[in-house]
Amino acid sequence: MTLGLINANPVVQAKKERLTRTRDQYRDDGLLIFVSDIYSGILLSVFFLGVLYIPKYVRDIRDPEHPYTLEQLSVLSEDSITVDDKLDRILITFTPTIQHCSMANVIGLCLRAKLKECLPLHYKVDIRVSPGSHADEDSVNKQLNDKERVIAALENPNLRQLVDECIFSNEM
Amino acid sequence: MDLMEKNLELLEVQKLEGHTDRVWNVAWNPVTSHADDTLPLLASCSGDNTVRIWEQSSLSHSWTCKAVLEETHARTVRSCAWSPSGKLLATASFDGTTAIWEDMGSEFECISTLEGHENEVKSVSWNASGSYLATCSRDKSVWIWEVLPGNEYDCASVLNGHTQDVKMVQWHPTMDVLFSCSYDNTIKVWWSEDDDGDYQCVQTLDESNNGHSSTVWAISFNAAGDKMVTCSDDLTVKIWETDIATMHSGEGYAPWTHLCTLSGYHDRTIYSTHWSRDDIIATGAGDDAIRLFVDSNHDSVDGPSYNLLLTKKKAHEMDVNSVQWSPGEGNRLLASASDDGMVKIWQLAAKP
Amino acid sequence: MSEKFSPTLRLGDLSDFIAPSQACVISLKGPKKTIDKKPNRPQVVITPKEQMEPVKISLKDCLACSGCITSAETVMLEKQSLDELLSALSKSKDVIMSISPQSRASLAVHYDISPLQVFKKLTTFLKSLGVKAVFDTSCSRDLVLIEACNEFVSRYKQASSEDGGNSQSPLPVLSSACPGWICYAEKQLGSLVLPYISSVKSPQQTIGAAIKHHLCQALGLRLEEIYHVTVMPCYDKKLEAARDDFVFEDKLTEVDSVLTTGEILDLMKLKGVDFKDLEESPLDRLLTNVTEEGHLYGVAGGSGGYAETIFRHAAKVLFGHTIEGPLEFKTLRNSDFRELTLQLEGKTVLKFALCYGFQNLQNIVRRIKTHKCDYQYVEIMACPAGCLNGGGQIKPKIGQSQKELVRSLEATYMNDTALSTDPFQNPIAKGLYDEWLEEPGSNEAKKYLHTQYHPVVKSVTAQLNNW
Repeated sequence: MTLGLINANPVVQAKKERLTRTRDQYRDDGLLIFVSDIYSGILLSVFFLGVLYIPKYVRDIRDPEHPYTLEQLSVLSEDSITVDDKLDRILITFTPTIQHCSMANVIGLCLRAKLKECLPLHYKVDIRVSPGSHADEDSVNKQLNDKERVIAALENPNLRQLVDECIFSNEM
Repeated sequence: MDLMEKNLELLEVQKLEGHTDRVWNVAWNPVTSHADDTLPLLASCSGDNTVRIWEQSSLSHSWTCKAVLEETHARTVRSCAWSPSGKLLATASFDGTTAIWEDMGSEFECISTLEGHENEVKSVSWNASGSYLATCSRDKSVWIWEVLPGNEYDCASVLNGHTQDVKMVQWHPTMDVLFSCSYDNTIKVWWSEDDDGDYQCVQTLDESNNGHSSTVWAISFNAAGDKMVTCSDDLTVKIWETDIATMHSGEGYAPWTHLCTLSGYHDRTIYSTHWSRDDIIATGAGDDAIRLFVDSNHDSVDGPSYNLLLTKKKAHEMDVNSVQWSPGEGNRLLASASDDGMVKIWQLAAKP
Repeated sequence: MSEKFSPTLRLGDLSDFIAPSQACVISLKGPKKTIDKKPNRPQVVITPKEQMEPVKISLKDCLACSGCITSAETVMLEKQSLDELLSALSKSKDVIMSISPQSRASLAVHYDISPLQVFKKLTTFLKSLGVKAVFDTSCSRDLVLIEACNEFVSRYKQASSEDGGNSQSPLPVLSSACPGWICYAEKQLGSLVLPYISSVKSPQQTIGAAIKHHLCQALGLRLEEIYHVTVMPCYDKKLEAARDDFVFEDKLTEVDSVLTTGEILDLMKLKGVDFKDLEESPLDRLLTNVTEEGHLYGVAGGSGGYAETIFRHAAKVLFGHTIEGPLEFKTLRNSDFRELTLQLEGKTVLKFALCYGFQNLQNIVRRIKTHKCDYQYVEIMACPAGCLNGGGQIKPKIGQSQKELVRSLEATYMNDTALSTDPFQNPIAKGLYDEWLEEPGSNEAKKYLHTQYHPVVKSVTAQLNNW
């Protein structure tokens, strides 16, 4: 099927100068995550997880539709991550670049795949699109938090390949 | 006996290690635990694409892995179910197939593979007589397979009605009435009025009749078959009842009605619930806990009142995906399966 | 999901249908307005510079995608609707219409008149709108049956000559007239099952081929001016007409548009016509099964009579056994799964089956896959009760059940139609072979009356939003 880009003209942010935010500025076990819209690669945001250390490549999740990272697409922001240390729970909120972005589910899938690799297993992660940012907010949120659907999707070789291309882009 | 007044606890009998990925489901063999001379048998299935059969030693009473069923399913094995005879094990997989395994004594052999679902098969269930098998899938359909002689399985019905992913199918314990629950937040009841195998949806339990407000993950029945428990992503457990005598007498379909809702206990998705023969409801959830509920009021004229019997926090390191009571009468064993890759055997016992 | 979504296969009150299982990967909703809320932090919210055009899906997209079994009605209706027909008429195109016998039966039951009266009144009505000719697909179906008989005999001989049937076209032969079944087989069953399917086109495509590859040339008509519309009991016939296999000379199609029986009813309402009051016009004999005396004729069987006709032919040609009188169908699991057997000297020499509806179809497919299918021919239709019960037929009247309607359709179907068990005796078919196709199974016949099937590979795009 010929499918046009869902978001043909994303706004691309200048790539954050990562060197200015090294781990030294935070606690030793801190973590910076840079996430961008998978399509456009726009950085969704940069955020800090107080208690975790996640390898540095997390920030370079690539947008599935554009050659930019989520960092450059502003899909995530610093306070889009809430950590409840006591309960080992993490809530991530991201903002798809456009309201009907059908790739929101895939961005969420990439976040899940990435965090699964990086986080200690006992963390419970909830992923949501920020309120009002997506036309099918409830359905996107429901799907991204159905672990059975997420696991099955990540077992699908085609989807897995796409997700891997997005989350390992900087290593290629 | 009032369980509420006893000081009970859930004691971990043994941790069964072997799976290399999350364990989705456990199933007790219905026959082996009945008779005294046979050993309890438990099947577990996992994201490592295998099924493990666990057996209790008669001497040490410890559990060991008797067989690993592998190289048949190409993806996660999501659910497993023993036939009423205890001879056959059906396994449902994300690879879109359902496999039938026969217990050959020393090993298990895959004797049939049921294809037809378009994508992940989520659950499989045998009816009480073992003549029908039901399966459900993310493709939104529920299929009924008829068991024919010679390991043949014919598709007897394809039931469409759910608007989303169907999470679980469960036959009624005594009658050929099929129940399914779904990501569409509903529970559907399928029944063949003329008993001619022409199954139709006869009831849908949704929010409009006090049903769940999010994905319904599991269904279980009490031994009499007049009560049903369901659990959901909406963090509640719901109890339903029907007039079973009407159904048995052949006077037509007796609808299920909402009896009560148990909320405020688990604070993450409740993935599994199971009703024991002695009326204890177990739940397992994404908060790593197992909870037990009982009707503490069952003799009263006010009707039943279900209350929390106990909470086993951190029953597992991660989400509890399945809880199943052993079918035996006396010793209350509970098996649980978790994302942490473990199967655990628990015993409900009085605190010393 | 629309109630009419893939209606051929979706029958409201029957549990047995092929329903689309997933949402279309392309959003039909179009872009929503961006929220005008001020972003708290500039780096979070992005406003696209331009609003995108709403995404459009073409019928071709649906056919090429495996995201769902069949495609959205909205898509089919866009290309193949009453409006398209009216627009062709207003452009003074030479509109030719071909009416299926199942559609005539549906209208006959609806108006409580005979199928012949329906055909004549319909001719009056359509010609009053400017339609040039009205034909009959039971005529082209006889060509299909002749080719299918020929194909079966040759595949049967091939299978029995090569030990174990290792031929390229193995048995059983599976019928090919039902587009819902073909669509399902291409999307879900692929190369394991496709080689079994008969290569003969459906009656719809065959009459299209006869009109556009032969009649136009014979009559000296310009192909570009011809607009050919069929009237079918089935929505999925619209998908069939749009297949790439039926496009020739880059952009011409054998069938330009397909209307369902129900849509014809809509057209009459739109034009304010009282159907029963219409005059009865003479029928266009060129491609219509009508005798000199004005009687309709054709094979029995509400779904085209494939199994029955081929069974009789094979018994005669392969075993020298002429079957007189009606055949005995043995009902198996249900009335939609029946078999026909021919026993000679205590041995079963022919074993055919009729298999209608999705669940029965599953069991045939299952047996083929496990090499346990002992049928030599299976007439497969996706709809329970077959084509008379197609999703494009007129709905039951208030108080009438679907089953009652099907029973009266079956009773009416062959009313005032002379039974002809042998399509080889059809003078029009004979004429077409003489003038155009030479003989059954000839190169010309293969070129114009046969087709191919293609497994659909699941695209990543189709899976992206479907997990």
